[in-house]
Amino acid sequence: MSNYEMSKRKSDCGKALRHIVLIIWCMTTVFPLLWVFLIAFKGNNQIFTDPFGIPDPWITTNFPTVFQKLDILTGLKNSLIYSFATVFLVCLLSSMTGFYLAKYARGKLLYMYFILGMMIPVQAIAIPMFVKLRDAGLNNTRPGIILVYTVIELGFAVFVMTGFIKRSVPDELLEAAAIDGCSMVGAFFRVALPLMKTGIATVGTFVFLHVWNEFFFGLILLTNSKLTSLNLTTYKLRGQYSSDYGLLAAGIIVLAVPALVIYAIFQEQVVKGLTAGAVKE
Amino acid sequence: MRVAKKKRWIPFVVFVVPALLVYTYFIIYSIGNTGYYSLTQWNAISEPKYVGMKYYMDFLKDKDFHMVLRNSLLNVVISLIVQVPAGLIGGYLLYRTRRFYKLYRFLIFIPVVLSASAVALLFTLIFHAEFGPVNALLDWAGLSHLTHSWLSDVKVVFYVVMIPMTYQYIGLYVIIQLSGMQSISEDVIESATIDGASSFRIFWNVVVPMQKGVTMMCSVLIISGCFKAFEHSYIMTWGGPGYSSSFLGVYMYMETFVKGNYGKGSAIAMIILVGTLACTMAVQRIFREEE
Repeated sequence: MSNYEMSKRKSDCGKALRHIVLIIWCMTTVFPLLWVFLIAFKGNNQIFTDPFGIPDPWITTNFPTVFQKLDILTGLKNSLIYSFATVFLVCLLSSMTGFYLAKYARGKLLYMYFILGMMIPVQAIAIPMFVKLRDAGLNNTRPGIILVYTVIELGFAVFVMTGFIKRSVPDELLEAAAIDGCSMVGAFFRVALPLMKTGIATVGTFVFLHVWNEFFFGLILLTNSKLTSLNLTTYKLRGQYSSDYGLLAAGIIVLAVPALVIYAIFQEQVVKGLTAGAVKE
Repeated sequence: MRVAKKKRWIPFVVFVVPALLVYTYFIIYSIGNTGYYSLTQWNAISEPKYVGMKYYMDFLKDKDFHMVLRNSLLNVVISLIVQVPAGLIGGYLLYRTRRFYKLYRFLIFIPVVLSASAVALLFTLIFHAEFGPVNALLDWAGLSHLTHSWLSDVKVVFYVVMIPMTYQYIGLYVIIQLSGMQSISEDVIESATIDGASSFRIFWNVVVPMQKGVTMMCSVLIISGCFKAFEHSYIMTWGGPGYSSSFLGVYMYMETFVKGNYGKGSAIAMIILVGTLACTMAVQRIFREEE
Protein backbone atom coordinates (compact mmCIF):
# COMPACT_ATOMS: atom_id res chain seq x y z
CA MET A 1 0.00 0.00 0.00
CA SER A 2 2.41 2.67 -1.16
CA ASN A 3 -0.35 5.24 -1.31
CA TYR A 4 -1.19 4.66 2.32
CA GLU A 5 2.47 4.79 3.29
CA MET A 6 2.95 8.04 1.45
CA SER A 7 0.03 9.71 3.12
CA LYS A 8 1.14 8.35 6.46
CA ARG A 9 4.65 9.70 5.94
CA LYS A 10 3.17 13.03 4.97
CA SER A 11 1.04 13.15 8.09
CA ASP A 12 4.05 12.19 10.24
CA CYS A 13 5.91 15.11 8.71
CA GLY A 14 2.99 17.39 9.49
CA LYS A 15 2.87 16.11 13.02
CA ALA A 16 6.57 16.75 13.55
CA LEU A 17 6.25 20.24 12.09
CA ARG A 18 3.32 20.95 14.39
CA HIS A 19 5.32 19.93 17.44
CA ILE A 20 8.32 21.99 16.33
CA VAL A 21 6.16 25.12 15.96
CA LEU A 22 4.50 24.53 19.32
CA ILE A 23 7.83 23.90 21.05
CA ILE A 24 9.31 27.12 19.65
CA TRP A 25 6.16 28.99 20.67
CA CYS A 26 6.37 27.65 24.21
CA MET A 27 10.06 28.45 24.42
CA THR A 28 9.49 32.10 23.50
CA THR A 29 6.79 32.20 26.16
CA VAL A 30 8.92 30.69 28.89
CA PHE A 31 12.35 32.08 28.05
CA PRO A 32 11.80 35.65 29.35
CA LEU A 33 10.57 34.28 32.67
CA LEU A 34 13.45 31.83 33.09
CA TRP A 35 15.97 34.48 32.13
CA VAL A 36 14.64 37.00 34.63
CA PHE A 37 14.54 34.27 37.27
CA LEU A 38 18.27 33.69 36.81
CA ILE A 39 18.97 37.45 36.78
CA ALA A 40 17.30 37.72 40.17
CA PHE A 41 20.01 35.46 41.61
CA LYS A 42 22.95 37.27 40.04
CA GLY A 43 25.08 40.14 41.30
CA ASN A 44 24.98 43.37 39.31
CA ASN A 45 28.44 42.59 37.91
CA GLN A 46 27.53 39.23 36.51
CA ILE A 47 24.35 40.60 34.97
CA PHE A 48 26.50 42.73 32.68
CA THR A 49 29.40 40.34 32.07
CA ASP A 50 27.44 37.11 31.77
CA PRO A 51 23.72 37.82 31.31
CA PHE A 52 22.86 34.29 30.14
CA GLY A 53 24.94 32.08 32.39
CA ILE A 54 24.00 30.24 35.53
CA PRO A 55 24.36 32.53 38.56
CA ASP A 56 27.89 32.28 39.95
CA PRO A 57 27.72 32.60 42.89
CA TRP A 58 23.99 32.29 43.59
CA ILE A 59 23.03 35.54 45.33
CA THR A 60 19.87 35.37 47.40
CA THR A 61 20.06 38.79 49.04
CA ASN A 62 17.92 40.43 46.34
CA PHE A 63 14.77 38.87 47.73
CA PRO A 64 15.04 39.97 51.37
CA THR A 65 16.13 43.41 50.12
CA VAL A 66 13.03 43.72 47.97
CA PHE A 67 10.78 42.74 50.87
CA GLN A 68 12.48 45.24 53.12
CA LYS A 69 12.76 48.22 50.77
CA LEU A 70 9.32 47.94 49.20
CA ASP A 71 7.13 46.65 52.00
CA ILE A 72 5.96 43.76 49.86
CA LEU A 73 3.96 42.24 52.70
CA THR A 74 1.73 45.31 53.00
CA GLY A 75 1.22 45.26 49.24
CA LEU A 76 0.36 41.58 49.36
CA LYS A 77 -2.10 42.12 52.19
CA ASN A 78 -3.79 45.02 50.35
CA SER A 79 -4.02 43.06 47.10
CA LEU A 80 -5.66 40.16 48.95
CA ILE A 81 -8.14 42.46 50.70
CA TYR A 82 -9.11 44.27 47.48
CA SER A 83 -9.40 41.06 45.48
CA PHE A 84 -11.47 39.08 47.96
CA ALA A 85 -13.75 41.98 48.90
CA THR A 86 -14.44 42.74 45.24
CA VAL A 87 -15.03 39.07 44.44
CA PHE A 88 -17.58 38.86 47.24
CA LEU A 89 -19.47 42.02 46.25
CA VAL A 90 -19.44 41.33 42.50
CA CYS A 91 -20.56 37.71 42.94
CA LEU A 92 -23.38 38.78 45.23
CA LEU A 93 -24.64 41.62 43.03
CA SER A 94 -24.19 39.84 39.72
CA SER A 95 -25.83 36.60 40.85
CA MET A 96 -28.88 38.49 42.12
CA THR A 97 -29.12 40.67 39.04
CA GLY A 98 -28.41 37.75 36.74
CA PHE A 99 -31.11 35.72 38.48
CA TYR A 100 -33.69 38.41 37.78
CA LEU A 101 -32.55 39.03 34.22
CA ALA A 102 -32.49 35.33 33.36
CA LYS A 103 -35.77 34.33 35.02
CA TYR A 104 -38.07 37.28 35.60
CA ALA A 105 -37.23 40.11 33.22
CA ARG A 106 -39.43 40.72 30.19
CA GLY A 107 -37.58 41.72 27.07
CA LYS A 108 -33.87 42.33 26.76
CA LEU A 109 -33.65 46.05 27.40
CA LEU A 110 -32.33 45.89 30.96
CA TYR A 111 -29.89 43.14 30.01
CA MET A 112 -28.55 45.20 27.13
CA TYR A 113 -28.24 48.18 29.46
CA PHE A 114 -26.02 46.20 31.83
CA ILE A 115 -23.78 44.59 29.25
CA LEU A 116 -23.19 47.99 27.67
CA GLY A 117 -20.82 48.43 30.62
CA MET A 118 -18.50 45.80 29.15
CA MET A 119 -17.71 48.05 26.21
CA ILE A 120 -16.78 51.11 28.27
CA PRO A 121 -13.02 51.74 28.45
CA VAL A 122 -11.83 52.61 31.97
CA GLN A 123 -10.55 56.01 30.84
CA ALA A 124 -14.07 57.12 29.94
CA ILE A 125 -15.14 56.95 33.59
CA ALA A 126 -11.83 57.52 35.38
CA ILE A 127 -12.05 61.29 35.95
CA PRO A 128 -15.64 61.34 37.30
CA MET A 129 -14.84 58.33 39.49
CA PHE A 130 -11.84 60.15 40.89
CA VAL A 131 -13.92 63.28 41.54
CA LYS A 132 -16.87 61.39 43.08
CA LEU A 133 -14.60 59.46 45.41
CA ARG A 134 -12.67 62.54 46.42
CA ASP A 135 -15.84 64.51 47.13
CA ALA A 136 -17.15 61.63 49.27
CA GLY A 137 -13.84 61.48 51.14
CA LEU A 138 -13.20 57.98 49.82
CA ASN A 139 -10.02 58.55 47.82
CA ASN A 140 -7.07 56.81 49.42
CA THR A 141 -9.32 54.47 51.36
CA ARG A 142 -9.93 50.76 51.07
CA PRO A 143 -13.73 51.02 50.68
CA GLY A 144 -13.18 53.57 47.90
CA ILE A 145 -10.99 51.37 45.73
CA ILE A 146 -13.13 48.29 46.42
CA LEU A 147 -16.19 50.26 45.28
CA VAL A 148 -14.44 51.24 42.05
CA TYR A 149 -13.32 47.68 41.33
CA THR A 150 -16.83 46.37 42.01
CA VAL A 151 -18.33 48.88 39.62
CA ILE A 152 -15.95 48.22 36.74
CA GLU A 153 -16.32 44.43 37.01
CA LEU A 154 -20.09 44.46 37.34
CA GLY A 155 -21.18 44.67 33.68
CA PHE A 156 -19.09 41.73 32.57
CA ALA A 157 -20.06 39.68 35.63
CA VAL A 158 -23.77 40.27 34.98
CA PHE A 159 -23.28 39.18 31.38
CA VAL A 160 -21.57 35.91 32.30
CA MET A 161 -23.89 35.19 35.23
CA THR A 162 -27.13 35.81 33.31
CA GLY A 163 -26.04 33.41 30.58
CA PHE A 164 -25.06 30.82 33.12
CA ILE A 165 -28.32 30.99 35.08
CA LYS A 166 -30.37 30.76 31.88
CA ARG A 167 -28.65 27.49 31.04
CA SER A 168 -28.34 25.81 34.40
CA VAL A 169 -31.28 26.80 36.62
CA PRO A 170 -34.43 25.09 35.26
CA ASP A 171 -37.70 27.07 35.33
CA GLU A 172 -39.55 23.99 36.60
CA LEU A 173 -37.63 23.97 39.86
CA LEU A 174 -38.46 27.61 40.53
CA GLU A 175 -42.13 27.05 39.68
CA ALA A 176 -42.27 24.07 42.03
CA ALA A 177 -40.69 26.17 44.76
CA ALA A 178 -43.24 28.93 44.15
CA ILE A 179 -46.13 26.43 44.39
CA ASP A 180 -44.70 25.14 47.66
CA GLY A 181 -44.99 28.68 48.96
CA CYS A 182 -41.31 29.55 48.70
CA SER A 183 -40.80 33.31 48.34
CA MET A 184 -38.68 34.81 45.58
CA VAL A 185 -35.78 35.42 47.92
CA GLY A 186 -36.15 31.95 49.38
CA ALA A 187 -36.13 30.42 45.91
CA PHE A 188 -32.98 32.33 45.10
CA PHE A 189 -31.07 31.17 48.16
CA ARG A 190 -32.42 27.63 48.50
CA VAL A 191 -33.06 26.56 44.92
CA ALA A 192 -31.01 28.69 42.53
CA LEU A 193 -27.84 29.48 44.45
CA PRO A 194 -26.71 25.84 44.88
CA LEU A 195 -27.08 25.38 41.09
CA MET A 196 -25.03 28.50 40.41
CA LYS A 197 -21.81 27.35 42.06
CA THR A 198 -19.92 26.84 38.81
CA GLY A 199 -20.99 30.21 37.48
CA ILE A 200 -19.98 31.93 40.69
CA ALA A 201 -16.61 30.16 40.59
CA THR A 202 -16.03 31.43 37.04
CA VAL A 203 -17.01 35.00 37.85
CA GLY A 204 -15.04 34.88 41.09
CA THR A 205 -11.93 33.69 39.30
CA PHE A 206 -11.86 36.40 36.66
CA VAL A 207 -12.76 39.15 39.10
CA PHE A 208 -9.99 37.98 41.42
CA LEU A 209 -7.39 37.96 38.65
CA HIS A 210 -8.55 41.28 37.16
CA VAL A 211 -8.35 43.03 40.52
CA TRP A 212 -5.09 41.32 41.44
CA ASN A 213 -3.57 42.59 38.18
CA GLU A 214 -5.28 46.01 38.09
CA PHE A 215 -2.95 48.97 37.71
CA PHE A 216 -4.68 52.08 36.34
CA PHE A 217 -7.15 52.89 39.13
CA GLY A 218 -4.63 51.87 41.76
CA LEU A 219 -2.25 54.44 40.31
CA ILE A 220 -4.87 57.22 40.30
CA LEU A 221 -6.67 56.55 43.55
CA LEU A 222 -4.09 55.16 45.97
CA THR A 223 -1.28 57.57 46.70
CA ASN A 224 -0.88 56.48 50.32
CA SER A 225 1.89 53.86 50.27
CA LYS A 226 0.22 51.95 53.14
CA LEU A 227 -2.73 51.22 50.84
CA THR A 228 -1.05 50.38 47.52
CA SER A 229 -1.56 46.97 45.98
CA LEU A 230 1.31 44.60 45.25
CA ASN A 231 1.29 45.72 41.61
CA LEU A 232 1.80 49.37 42.50
CA THR A 233 4.31 48.53 45.21
CA THR A 234 6.51 46.64 42.77
CA TYR A 235 6.14 49.33 40.14
CA LYS A 236 8.19 51.65 42.38
CA LEU A 237 11.22 49.56 41.40
CA ARG A 238 11.02 51.21 37.98
CA GLY A 239 11.65 54.62 39.50
CA GLN A 240 13.58 54.37 42.72
CA TYR A 241 15.83 51.39 42.13
CA SER A 242 15.84 51.26 38.36
CA SER A 243 19.58 50.69 38.06
CA ASP A 244 19.69 47.80 40.53
CA TYR A 245 18.68 45.15 38.02
CA GLY A 246 18.96 42.15 40.32
CA LEU A 247 16.53 43.85 42.66
CA LEU A 248 14.14 44.66 39.81
CA ALA A 249 14.28 41.04 38.64
CA ALA A 250 13.56 39.79 42.16
CA GLY A 251 10.58 42.17 42.33
CA ILE A 252 9.23 40.79 39.06
CA ILE A 253 9.50 37.24 40.41
CA VAL A 254 7.74 38.19 43.64
CA LEU A 255 4.96 39.81 41.60
CA ALA A 256 4.62 36.91 39.16
CA VAL A 257 4.78 33.96 41.54
CA PRO A 258 1.38 34.28 43.27
CA ALA A 259 -0.43 34.46 39.91
CA LEU A 260 1.59 31.51 38.57
CA VAL A 261 0.89 29.40 41.66
CA ILE A 262 -2.85 30.09 41.42
CA TYR A 263 -2.72 29.23 37.74
CA ALA A 264 -0.80 26.00 38.30
CA ILE A 265 -3.25 24.80 40.94
CA PHE A 266 -6.54 25.93 39.42
CA GLN A 267 -5.57 25.67 35.76
CA GLU A 268 -8.94 24.75 34.28
CA GLN A 269 -10.76 27.27 36.44
CA VAL A 270 -8.37 30.12 35.56
CA VAL A 271 -8.56 29.41 31.82
CA LYS A 272 -12.34 29.26 32.05
CA GLY A 273 -12.45 32.51 34.01
CA LEU A 274 -10.19 34.50 31.70
CA THR A 275 -11.94 33.31 28.54
CA ALA A 276 -15.44 33.67 30.03
CA GLY A 277 -17.81 35.59 27.82
CA ALA A 278 -15.80 34.90 24.68
CA VAL A 279 -16.30 31.14 24.89
CA LYS A 280 -19.51 29.15 24.93
CA GLU A 281 -19.70 26.79 27.86
CA MET B 1 -41.62 31.98 34.12
CA ARG B 2 -45.07 33.11 35.07
CA VAL B 3 -45.30 35.28 38.11
CA ALA B 4 -48.38 37.08 39.42
CA LYS B 5 -48.37 40.50 37.82
CA LYS B 6 -48.73 42.72 40.85
CA LYS B 7 -45.77 41.02 42.51
CA ARG B 8 -43.34 41.59 39.66
CA TRP B 9 -41.82 44.68 41.24
CA ILE B 10 -40.70 42.77 44.33
CA PRO B 11 -37.94 40.70 42.72
CA PHE B 12 -36.97 43.75 40.70
CA VAL B 13 -36.41 45.83 43.81
CA VAL B 14 -34.70 43.07 45.74
CA PHE B 15 -32.46 41.63 43.05
CA VAL B 16 -31.74 44.39 40.57
CA VAL B 17 -32.02 47.80 42.19
CA PRO B 18 -28.76 47.66 44.19
CA ALA B 19 -26.66 46.77 41.15
CA LEU B 20 -28.70 49.05 38.90
CA LEU B 21 -28.15 52.10 41.11
CA VAL B 22 -24.42 51.55 41.52
CA TYR B 23 -23.97 50.80 37.83
CA THR B 24 -26.05 53.74 36.62
CA TYR B 25 -24.47 56.27 38.96
CA PHE B 26 -20.85 55.24 38.54
CA ILE B 27 -20.73 54.12 34.91
CA ILE B 28 -23.53 55.65 32.85
CA TYR B 29 -23.76 58.94 34.74
CA SER B 30 -19.94 59.14 34.79
CA ILE B 31 -19.79 58.97 31.01
CA GLY B 32 -22.13 61.97 30.96
CA ASN B 33 -19.80 63.71 33.42
CA THR B 34 -16.78 63.01 31.24
CA GLY B 35 -18.64 64.40 28.23
CA TYR B 36 -19.46 67.58 30.16
CA TYR B 37 -15.95 67.99 31.61
CA SER B 38 -14.54 67.69 28.09
CA LEU B 39 -16.29 70.98 27.26
CA THR B 40 -14.70 72.80 30.19
CA GLN B 41 -11.36 74.07 31.30
CA TRP B 42 -10.88 72.57 34.73
CA ASN B 43 -8.20 71.68 37.27
CA ALA B 44 -10.55 69.55 39.43
CA ILE B 45 -10.46 72.15 42.22
CA SER B 46 -12.00 75.45 41.09
CA GLU B 47 -15.28 75.79 39.17
CA PRO B 48 -15.18 74.28 35.66
CA LYS B 49 -15.08 77.01 33.01
CA TYR B 50 -17.13 76.26 29.90
CA VAL B 51 -15.03 76.41 26.74
CA GLY B 52 -17.24 74.50 24.28
CA MET B 53 -15.51 72.38 21.66
CA LYS B 54 -12.14 74.06 22.24
CA TYR B 55 -10.15 70.92 23.07
CA TYR B 56 -11.61 68.96 20.20
CA MET B 57 -10.77 71.79 17.78
CA ASP B 58 -7.24 72.02 19.25
CA PHE B 59 -6.74 68.31 18.58
CA LEU B 60 -7.08 68.99 14.85
CA LYS B 61 -3.76 70.84 14.83
CA ASP B 62 -2.04 69.34 17.89
CA LYS B 63 1.08 67.42 16.78
CA ASP B 64 1.28 65.40 20.01
CA PHE B 65 -2.31 64.30 19.65
CA HIS B 66 -1.75 63.30 16.02
CA MET B 67 1.20 61.13 16.98
CA VAL B 68 -0.67 59.47 19.84
CA LEU B 69 -3.76 58.87 17.70
CA ARG B 70 -1.60 57.43 14.94
CA ASN B 71 0.13 55.16 17.50
CA SER B 72 -3.21 53.90 18.79
CA LEU B 73 -4.65 53.23 15.34
CA LEU B 74 -1.42 51.56 14.21
CA ASN B 75 -1.58 49.46 17.37
CA VAL B 76 -5.11 48.37 16.47
CA VAL B 77 -4.17 47.49 12.88
CA ILE B 78 -0.94 45.65 13.72
CA SER B 79 -2.55 43.79 16.61
CA LEU B 80 -5.40 42.65 14.39
CA ILE B 81 -3.01 41.54 11.64
CA VAL B 82 -0.73 39.66 14.05
CA GLN B 83 -2.96 38.38 16.82
CA VAL B 84 -6.07 37.26 14.94
CA PRO B 85 -4.21 34.89 12.57
CA ALA B 86 -1.87 33.81 15.38
CA GLY B 87 -4.87 32.91 17.52
CA LEU B 88 -6.41 30.89 14.71
CA ILE B 89 -3.17 29.11 13.80
CA GLY B 90 -2.10 28.47 17.40
CA GLY B 91 -5.58 27.28 18.30
CA TYR B 92 -5.64 24.92 15.35
CA LEU B 93 -2.18 23.51 16.12
CA LEU B 94 -3.31 22.74 19.65
CA TYR B 95 -6.64 21.40 18.43
CA ARG B 96 -4.92 18.84 16.18
CA THR B 97 -2.36 17.83 18.78
CA ARG B 98 -2.87 14.98 21.25
CA ARG B 99 0.54 14.38 22.75
CA PHE B 100 1.74 17.05 25.22
CA TYR B 101 -1.46 18.96 24.48
CA LYS B 102 -1.97 19.95 28.12
CA LEU B 103 1.65 21.03 28.56
CA TYR B 104 1.60 23.23 25.45
CA ARG B 105 -1.68 24.78 26.48
CA PHE B 106 -0.41 25.42 29.99
CA LEU B 107 2.74 27.18 28.77
CA ILE B 108 1.12 29.25 26.02
CA PHE B 109 -1.44 30.67 28.44
CA ILE B 110 1.09 31.67 31.15
CA PRO B 111 1.58 35.33 30.10
CA VAL B 112 -2.19 35.92 30.14
CA VAL B 113 -2.24 35.17 33.85
CA LEU B 114 0.57 37.56 34.77
CA SER B 115 -0.16 41.18 35.55
CA ALA B 116 0.57 43.71 32.83
CA SER B 117 2.98 45.48 35.16
CA ALA B 118 5.00 42.29 35.74
CA VAL B 119 5.28 41.73 31.98
CA ALA B 120 6.15 45.37 31.34
CA LEU B 121 8.88 45.38 34.00
CA LEU B 122 10.18 42.09 32.61
CA PHE B 123 10.50 43.54 29.11
CA THR B 124 12.35 46.62 30.33
CA LEU B 125 15.08 44.11 31.17
CA ILE B 126 14.65 42.08 27.95
CA PHE B 127 15.22 45.25 25.90
CA HIS B 128 18.02 46.59 28.06
CA ALA B 129 20.66 48.00 25.72
CA GLU B 130 23.66 46.49 27.48
CA PHE B 131 22.71 43.09 28.85
CA GLY B 132 19.28 42.42 27.33
CA PRO B 133 18.82 39.25 25.25
CA VAL B 134 17.53 41.16 22.20
CA ASN B 135 20.75 43.01 21.54
CA ALA B 136 22.77 39.95 22.52
CA LEU B 137 20.87 37.86 19.98
CA LEU B 138 21.47 40.45 17.25
CA ASP B 139 25.19 40.58 18.08
CA TRP B 140 25.38 36.80 18.03
CA ALA B 141 23.67 36.66 14.63
CA GLY B 142 26.16 39.14 13.23
CA LEU B 143 23.56 41.89 13.01
CA SER B 144 25.24 44.27 15.43
CA HIS B 145 24.28 47.23 13.26
CA LEU B 146 20.64 46.56 14.18
CA THR B 147 21.14 46.87 17.93
CA HIS B 148 19.43 49.85 19.55
CA SER B 149 18.86 51.54 22.85
CA TRP B 150 15.38 50.15 22.41
CA LEU B 151 13.59 52.15 25.09
CA SER B 152 14.97 55.58 24.24
CA ASP B 153 15.25 55.51 20.45
CA VAL B 154 12.30 57.49 19.09
CA LYS B 155 12.31 55.57 15.82
CA VAL B 156 11.70 52.12 17.30
CA VAL B 157 10.32 52.64 20.80
CA PHE B 158 6.66 52.44 19.71
CA TYR B 159 7.16 48.98 18.21
CA VAL B 160 9.19 47.88 21.22
CA VAL B 161 6.30 48.73 23.52
CA MET B 162 3.95 46.65 21.39
CA ILE B 163 6.00 43.49 21.83
CA PRO B 164 5.18 42.80 25.50
CA MET B 165 1.52 43.49 24.72
CA THR B 166 1.60 40.86 21.99
CA TYR B 167 3.52 38.49 24.27
CA GLN B 168 0.93 38.94 26.97
CA TYR B 169 -2.34 38.67 25.04
CA ILE B 170 -1.66 36.31 22.13
CA GLY B 171 -2.18 33.25 24.35
CA LEU B 172 -5.66 34.45 25.24
CA TYR B 173 -6.77 34.41 21.60
CA VAL B 174 -5.19 31.00 21.04
CA ILE B 175 -7.19 29.53 23.90
CA ILE B 176 -10.42 31.29 22.89
CA GLN B 177 -10.06 29.93 19.34
CA LEU B 178 -9.19 26.49 20.69
CA SER B 179 -12.34 26.40 22.83
CA GLY B 180 -14.39 27.40 19.80
CA MET B 181 -12.81 24.67 17.67
CA GLN B 182 -13.47 22.06 20.32
CA SER B 183 -17.19 22.62 19.83
CA ILE B 184 -16.94 21.81 16.11
CA SER B 185 -18.45 18.38 15.58
CA GLU B 186 -15.83 15.63 15.17
CA ASP B 187 -17.78 14.25 12.17
CA VAL B 188 -17.02 17.34 10.12
CA ILE B 189 -13.27 16.98 10.53
CA GLU B 190 -13.41 13.20 10.13
CA SER B 191 -15.37 13.26 6.90
CA ALA B 192 -13.03 15.90 5.48
CA THR B 193 -10.06 13.69 6.39
CA ILE B 194 -11.63 10.67 4.71
CA ASP B 195 -12.21 12.78 1.61
CA GLY B 196 -8.45 13.22 1.55
CA ALA B 197 -8.33 16.88 2.57
CA SER B 198 -4.93 17.93 3.90
CA SER B 199 -4.59 19.39 7.35
CA PHE B 200 -4.10 22.83 5.83
CA ARG B 201 -7.21 22.53 3.66
CA ILE B 202 -9.28 21.49 6.65
CA PHE B 203 -7.99 24.54 8.48
CA TRP B 204 -8.66 26.96 5.64
CA ASN B 205 -11.91 25.57 4.22
CA VAL B 206 -13.60 24.13 7.29
CA VAL B 207 -12.24 25.51 10.55
CA VAL B 208 -11.67 29.18 9.63
CA PRO B 209 -15.20 29.68 8.23
CA MET B 210 -16.75 27.91 11.22
CA GLN B 211 -14.77 30.08 13.61
CA LYS B 212 -16.07 33.32 12.18
CA GLY B 213 -18.10 34.24 15.25
CA VAL B 214 -15.19 33.51 17.59
CA THR B 215 -12.80 35.44 15.33
CA MET B 216 -15.11 38.45 15.46
CA MET B 217 -15.18 38.23 19.25
CA CYS B 218 -11.37 38.16 19.34
CA SER B 219 -11.20 41.18 17.02
CA VAL B 220 -13.54 43.14 19.27
CA LEU B 221 -11.47 42.28 22.34
CA ILE B 222 -8.26 43.30 20.54
CA ILE B 223 -9.71 46.64 19.43
CA SER B 224 -11.03 47.62 22.85
CA GLY B 225 -7.74 46.48 24.44
CA CYS B 226 -5.68 48.61 22.04
CA PHE B 227 -7.71 51.78 22.58
CA LYS B 228 -7.40 51.67 26.35
CA ALA B 229 -3.79 50.36 26.29
CA PHE B 230 -1.92 51.88 29.19
CA GLU B 231 0.28 49.76 31.46
CA HIS B 232 2.98 48.49 29.11
CA SER B 233 3.73 51.85 27.56
CA TYR B 234 3.48 53.75 30.84
CA ILE B 235 5.67 51.36 32.83
CA MET B 236 8.32 50.75 30.18
CA THR B 237 8.85 54.29 28.89
CA TRP B 238 6.33 56.60 30.60
CA GLY B 239 5.00 57.02 27.08
CA GLY B 240 8.22 58.65 25.94
CA PRO B 241 10.57 59.95 24.77
CA GLY B 242 8.08 62.81 24.44
CA TYR B 243 4.87 61.06 23.46
CA SER B 244 6.55 58.77 20.92
CA SER B 245 5.47 55.52 22.57
CA SER B 246 2.19 56.77 24.04
CA PHE B 247 -1.23 55.46 23.22
CA LEU B 248 -4.42 57.44 23.84
CA GLY B 249 -4.73 55.84 27.28
CA VAL B 250 -1.28 57.07 28.33
CA TYR B 251 -1.86 60.52 26.82
CA MET B 252 -5.12 60.82 28.75
CA TYR B 253 -3.39 59.89 32.01
CA MET B 254 -0.50 62.29 31.48
CA GLU B 255 -2.65 65.28 30.51
CA THR B 256 -5.10 64.66 33.35
CA PHE B 257 -3.28 63.35 36.36
CA VAL B 258 0.25 64.61 35.70
CA LYS B 259 -0.46 67.99 34.09
CA GLY B 260 -3.76 68.57 35.90
CA ASN B 261 -5.74 69.42 32.80
CA TYR B 262 -8.98 67.58 33.55
CA GLY B 263 -10.94 69.14 30.68
CA LYS B 264 -8.46 68.07 28.02
CA GLY B 265 -8.11 64.66 29.67
CA SER B 266 -11.88 64.22 29.48
CA ALA B 267 -11.85 65.11 25.80
CA ILE B 268 -9.20 62.42 25.18
CA ALA B 269 -11.30 59.96 27.19
CA MET B 270 -14.31 60.71 24.99
CA ILE B 271 -12.21 60.04 21.90
CA ILE B 272 -11.12 56.70 23.37
CA LEU B 273 -14.77 55.84 24.02
CA VAL B 274 -16.02 56.88 20.59
CA GLY B 275 -13.05 55.26 18.81
CA THR B 276 -13.64 51.96 20.62
CA LEU B 277 -17.35 51.90 19.80
CA ALA B 278 -16.88 53.02 16.18
CA CYS B 279 -14.15 50.45 15.41
CA THR B 280 -16.10 47.69 17.15
CA MET B 281 -19.20 48.42 15.11
CA ALA B 282 -17.16 48.62 11.91
CA VAL B 283 -15.62 45.20 12.55
CA GLN B 284 -19.00 43.67 13.35
CA ARG B 285 -20.40 45.08 10.12
CA ILE B 286 -17.49 43.68 8.09
CA PHE B 287 -18.01 40.22 9.56
CA ARG B 288 -21.76 40.34 8.98
CA GLU B 289 -21.46 41.54 5.39
CA GLU B 290 -19.20 38.65 4.49
CA GLU B 291 -21.96 36.19 5.25
